[in-house]
Amino acid sequence: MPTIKLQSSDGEVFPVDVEIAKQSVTIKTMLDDLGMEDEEEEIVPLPNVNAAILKKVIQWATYHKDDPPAPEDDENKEKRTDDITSWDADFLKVDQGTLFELILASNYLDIKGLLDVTCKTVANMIKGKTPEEIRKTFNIKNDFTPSEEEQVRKENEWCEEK
Amino acid sequence: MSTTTQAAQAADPEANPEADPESESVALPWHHVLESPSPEDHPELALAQFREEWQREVQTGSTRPPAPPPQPTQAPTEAKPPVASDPMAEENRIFQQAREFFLAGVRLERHGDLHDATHISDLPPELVINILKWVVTSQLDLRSLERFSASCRWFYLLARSEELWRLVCFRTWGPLVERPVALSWREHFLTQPRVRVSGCYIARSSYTRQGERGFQDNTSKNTRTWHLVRYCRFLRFFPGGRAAMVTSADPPQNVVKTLALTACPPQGTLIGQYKVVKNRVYGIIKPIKIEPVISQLRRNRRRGSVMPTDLTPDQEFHFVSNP
Repeated sequence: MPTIKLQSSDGEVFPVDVEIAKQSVTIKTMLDDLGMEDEEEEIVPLPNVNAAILKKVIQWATYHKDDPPAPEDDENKEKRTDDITSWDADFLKVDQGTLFELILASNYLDIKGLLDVTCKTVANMIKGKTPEEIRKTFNIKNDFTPSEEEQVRKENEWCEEK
Repeated sequence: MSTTTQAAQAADPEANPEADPESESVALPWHHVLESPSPEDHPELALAQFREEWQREVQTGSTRPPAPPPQPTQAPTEAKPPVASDPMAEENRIFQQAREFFLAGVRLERHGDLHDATHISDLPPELVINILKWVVTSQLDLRSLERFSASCRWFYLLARSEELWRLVCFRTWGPLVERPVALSWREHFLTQPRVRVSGCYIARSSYTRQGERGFQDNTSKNTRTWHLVRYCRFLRFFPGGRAAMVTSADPPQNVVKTLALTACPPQGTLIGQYKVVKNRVYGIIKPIKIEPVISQLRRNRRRGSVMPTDLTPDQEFHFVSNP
């Protein structure tokens, strides 16, 4: 099976099966458009992804290599966040910094499956929480002035009534 | 006379705070010149001059000129030491502390204990909005979205984005939804009549039924058994025009939890469609025929359960809300 070499921002090189790497639409487009597939020694530099994150991304893509391609985003499609597989849930038991970097990397590499599951994981961290709990969860400072806070509370009142 | 004393009293407190800065104006620039002969002292001098002029005006304006002069002589002796020594010491202390923190940070970073962890605020807006789409989902969890908007200013802006609220309107009224130009999608959503999709509409009902006469009842012709049957009709609307209805005598909180399209719905759930036209909700609800439900029914019947036998009624329900 042909492989390509992916180089992280900090210079580490990872040899990866082309088919696994092609789950990234960014890499797939690059290979298809530039015809880089034949050149074994070609190194694909990924200046936005560091080695630790690239390693995780490759791990995810390797596990999901036989998945059917993710369907196009359709606003009619049923969207839910409670359907994360146990493998993905375990894979995403990482610190928040890593989780956000995985979101940035999967967005940059255009890996829809990984972007969806990481965003769902963050969404589940938000759902059902009060503003104060959200601030604590993500280490956010409340920068509203008291009058702004009161204004937002009034604007949002409609959804708090039983 | 009373007005002049008032004026003097009014002038005094104004003169007093000016007395200290004037001494400051002598002390401070001198310090700065010693420390660093930089253009920094020019604004200080300008400020000092301004203060001097201002105080002169206050003095000439007030009817009691002798009042301010003693203050400058008193105040400098008290105010001078802190003014002269404090800023330097304080500055040094802060500088030292900052230096220590910085070096400690460098040490930690070298050991790999501390790194610039990516924070949620490092995500570009379109990715946070993407996450918020997953917060809303098909179930339209708008409470979570609104609560997120109340956490900080940046998230407020993102949670109010037109893209998100257009999607909410789309999921509520279908793809042909339009809004008045003057309103944002969120305003449109909040002002249009709509059904609530976050819970169940419950109607309590009851009826009486004559009980069967047991042999014991025959002893007294005057007693008759009547059953008072209480039950609830649950109607739940889902985003996208589907609705589910069930009649049950179970505790409402149990039924509300299970009445959903996706999970296993309670026995006898009817599924249908609804539409909101102007101020009215129109809907048709039909029974769903599922084998396990029927076999369950039979089993219950065999056991002589008190379950009503018309769990899955065959009739269709058409409903229209009151305007």
